[in-house]
Amino acid sequence: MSYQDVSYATRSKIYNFLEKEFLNADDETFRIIARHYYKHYGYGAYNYLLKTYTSWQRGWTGISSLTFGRIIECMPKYLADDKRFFILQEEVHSFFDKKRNDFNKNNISLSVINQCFIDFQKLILSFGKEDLQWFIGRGIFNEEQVEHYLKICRYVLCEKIIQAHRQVANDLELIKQKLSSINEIISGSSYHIRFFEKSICIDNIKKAGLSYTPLHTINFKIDESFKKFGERYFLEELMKISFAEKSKQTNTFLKSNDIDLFFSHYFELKKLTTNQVSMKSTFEGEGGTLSLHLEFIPYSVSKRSIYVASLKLLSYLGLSILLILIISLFLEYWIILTLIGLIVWFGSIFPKLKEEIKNIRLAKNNIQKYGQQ
Amino acid sequence: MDNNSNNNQIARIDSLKMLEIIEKIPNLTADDKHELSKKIASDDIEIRKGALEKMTQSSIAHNDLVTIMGELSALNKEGMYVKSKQTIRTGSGTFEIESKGGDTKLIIPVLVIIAVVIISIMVIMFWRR
Repeated sequence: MSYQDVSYATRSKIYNFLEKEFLNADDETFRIIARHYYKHYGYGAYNYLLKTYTSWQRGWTGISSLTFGRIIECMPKYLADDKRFFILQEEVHSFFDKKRNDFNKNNISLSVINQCFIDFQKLILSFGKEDLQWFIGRGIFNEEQVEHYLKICRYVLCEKIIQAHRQVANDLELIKQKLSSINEIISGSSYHIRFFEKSICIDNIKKAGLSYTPLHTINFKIDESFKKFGERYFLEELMKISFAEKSKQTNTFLKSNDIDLFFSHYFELKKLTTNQVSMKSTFEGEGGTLSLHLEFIPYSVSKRSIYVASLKLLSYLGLSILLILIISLFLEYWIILTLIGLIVWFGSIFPKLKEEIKNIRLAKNNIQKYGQQ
Repeated sequence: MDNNSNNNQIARIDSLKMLEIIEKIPNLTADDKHELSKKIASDDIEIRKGALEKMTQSSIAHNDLVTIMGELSALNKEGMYVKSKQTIRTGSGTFEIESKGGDTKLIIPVLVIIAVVIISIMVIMFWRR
């Protein structure tokens, strides 16, 4: 079983890291790796490694994928603890990102958001030792170490999911509350969930029952077995989560204020002007971005649109009749004139006729939608 | 944010009790703990700075909106044809305001004249025949 076979995601980051480590290895580490390489791949490969190492280091020659694959098989075991942990950590995060990308392909809608987070958490918590056989089989970590680090990774990833879920739930609750407070037709609304990188339609949020079911939490006990490198990773990730938590709280405050500002100005503008008003906006929340579109088309504007479109329609019909008259005036050239007339009619007049009919329909729909006010 | 809007919000983790966690971790030296505490404090300052900047941005947006409203209202009173599109950055995102419409006194007569001219041409041509 090779590293490529057991890995989940694109591992350019890990490859780059290992390549850098290999090319900057101290004499002792290099000797150990080379000895191991000789044992596995024979004298020819070993000799090639020794001869080309300086060229690789200086960038004169690139390492072929076959050779690098072999190096990867020998190398991680001899890296320092913190470096080995870095690879493991990247592996777990690759798994997380891959699963999240796969999950994005599913249909996510307002009614199933809770379930989506629950399912995704289950998926992530299912990651276990069996997914890291390469690390155990190659002796890079023993089972106990892998289990220990996995415990930390699982806890951190779980906290991230819980945080994202809570933030999305808070955002949606606030959006529902704000939109329910106005009695206005919303032309369009959507919410982009940052965690899943997916937008959902929230046009029906006023009627939707948003029930929040807290996700399953993992109990994590900090004790002496808490090794140094896991400890550093744990703290870094917790600091990131804490930072995101605090900074996104500001967004909630701002978003709430800005939504109020948006509505108040929309209503004011509607009162002040007899024009067609359209306001689009985006609001960055805790867990995503809300996009709102409010539009008001007064009855007078729709009525005017119908008049203008009807007049235009009449003009185009007049032009069509004019074309027929011209042909009838010069009957001796009727074939060529009919051809030219058809080209002109289909090329210029017909599309305009269609457009004006569409405008009349749209204006009628707007009268139905916004009423005669 | 008004008080009501917070009532239905789900309680957040109490800043994850970072300092408490740091204290509990056995392998950390006093220096490490001090460094981490400093990092948390500096993060807090950064968050406050960012929040203040965003709030300022929202206040500027509010003033810009008032100005735009005034202009649109004035143009509306003068009965002029208006087509405007303005984008304003707020603390949490953007506002895009579009207003269209105004004077119809000019457009409709122009269209009527065009229609009359076309019909006249038709009549003249038909009459010549």
